[in-house]
Amino acid sequence: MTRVLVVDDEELVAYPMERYLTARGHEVDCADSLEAAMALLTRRDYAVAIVDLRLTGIHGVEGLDLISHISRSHPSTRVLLLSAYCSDELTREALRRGADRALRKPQRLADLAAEVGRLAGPEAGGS
Amino acid sequence: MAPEEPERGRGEAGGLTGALLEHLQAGVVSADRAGRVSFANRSALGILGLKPGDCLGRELPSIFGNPRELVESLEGLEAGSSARLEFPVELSGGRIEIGMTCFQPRPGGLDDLCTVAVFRELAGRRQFEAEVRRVERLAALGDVVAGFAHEVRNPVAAIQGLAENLLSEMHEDDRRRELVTRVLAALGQIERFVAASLEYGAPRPPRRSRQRPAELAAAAIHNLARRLETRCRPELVLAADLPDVDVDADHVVEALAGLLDNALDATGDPGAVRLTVRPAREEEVLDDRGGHVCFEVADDGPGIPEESLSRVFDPFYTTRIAGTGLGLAIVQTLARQNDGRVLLSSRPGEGTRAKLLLPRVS
Repeated sequence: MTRVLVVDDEELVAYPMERYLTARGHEVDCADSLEAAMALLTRRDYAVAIVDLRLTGIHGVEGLDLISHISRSHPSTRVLLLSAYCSDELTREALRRGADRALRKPQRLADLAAEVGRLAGPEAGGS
Repeated sequence: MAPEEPERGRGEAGGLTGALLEHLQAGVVSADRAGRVSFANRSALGILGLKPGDCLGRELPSIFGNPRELVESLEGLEAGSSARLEFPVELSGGRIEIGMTCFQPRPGGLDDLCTVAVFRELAGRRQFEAEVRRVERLAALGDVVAGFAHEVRNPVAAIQGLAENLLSEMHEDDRRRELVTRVLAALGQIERFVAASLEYGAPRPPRRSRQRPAELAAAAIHNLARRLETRCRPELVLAADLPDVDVDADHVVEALAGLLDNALDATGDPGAVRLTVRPAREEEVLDDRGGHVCFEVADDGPGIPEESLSRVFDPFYTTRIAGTGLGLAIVQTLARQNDGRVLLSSRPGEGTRAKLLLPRVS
């Protein structure tokens, strides 16, 4: 079993991810803001965090701050940036701050689950 | 005098001078001491759409519709002085823009010529202004389209995710899987449409650098060729000594691919499409400061009817079943992002020429 944190301000988008990953044996928590995500991270260890870039409307880049925070304070958590607005610059910046992967929205859930599996490593459960 | 003769042979403009004036592309008119037209060459009549007898003896400004700029310039004119001016003239066929130099020769030269006006139509100015308006309108539309696409994208992603969940939770033998699969296919179409809308309305800002036109053209043809089933390729014609251009390479390759796609769609035969890269001609680039390079895609397809020609850049205007209607709108956006320009000319039965004009490095 892999513990996964899904950070997306749109519950509409987070729910299908949560449901799909849960069905594949992962334990999934969702956070809809930077603060909610940081609060969850202090309580539990996550193998993988799926982080949306924009958490406050179309101009925010709070996801980058969260990536910095995770790589500093929770170095064992692998980070996957997921954003519809991934420019090359933003992707480079996310990787520089410690993200392990950056994917463009929308992603097929099957592909996303496979990516989570790869990031969590061979010891992780699920399929 | 035969009535169809232009106002020639009025003493002062005969002989060699007269012949020269007749063959000048510029319009030339002169007025006598009373300010009345005493001569007009063939080009002057052509530009103004006048018959030979229409202007002789009339006050000079009146044959241009008495524009204030001209009246005032002529009043201030003295022997030996000249003035340059621009003004619009309303003709039956529409408004044209005139660029003019007028002067009074010093006494002792051509006796009766008291005022001479040399002028030309500022070529393409109207077309250029129409183009500027079009580009501005499309940019404004782009904002709306991009805003709409942003809003649609998340719900579409959500429905896609829900349908994927549904599919994965259904039994392998469930006959309803077919329905969900079709829902996903339809959503995929919406997503492609949303992606194209964002590309048109909210393109990535350009990262411009020095690029070789020949390499950009080759890359565009290469990209197209990868998708072709035939080994036939569009013809590439490169002028010698092309200057480098200052553009975002990805933008240009994509814009060229869009134009090549359209040409291919029109002919169905890659061999009937030609991409020519050459320095831009003067009339293709207005207000040209640093020089441009022209990438011209020509096809021998059926051409575009005139009533469609003004609309082909409009977003969502399409005559194809599978098209998003955003192809040329995106090309236009990419050109604008790089301080370039797109021109399209076509006549039914004579194929289409699409030109992408891009600034050379300064």
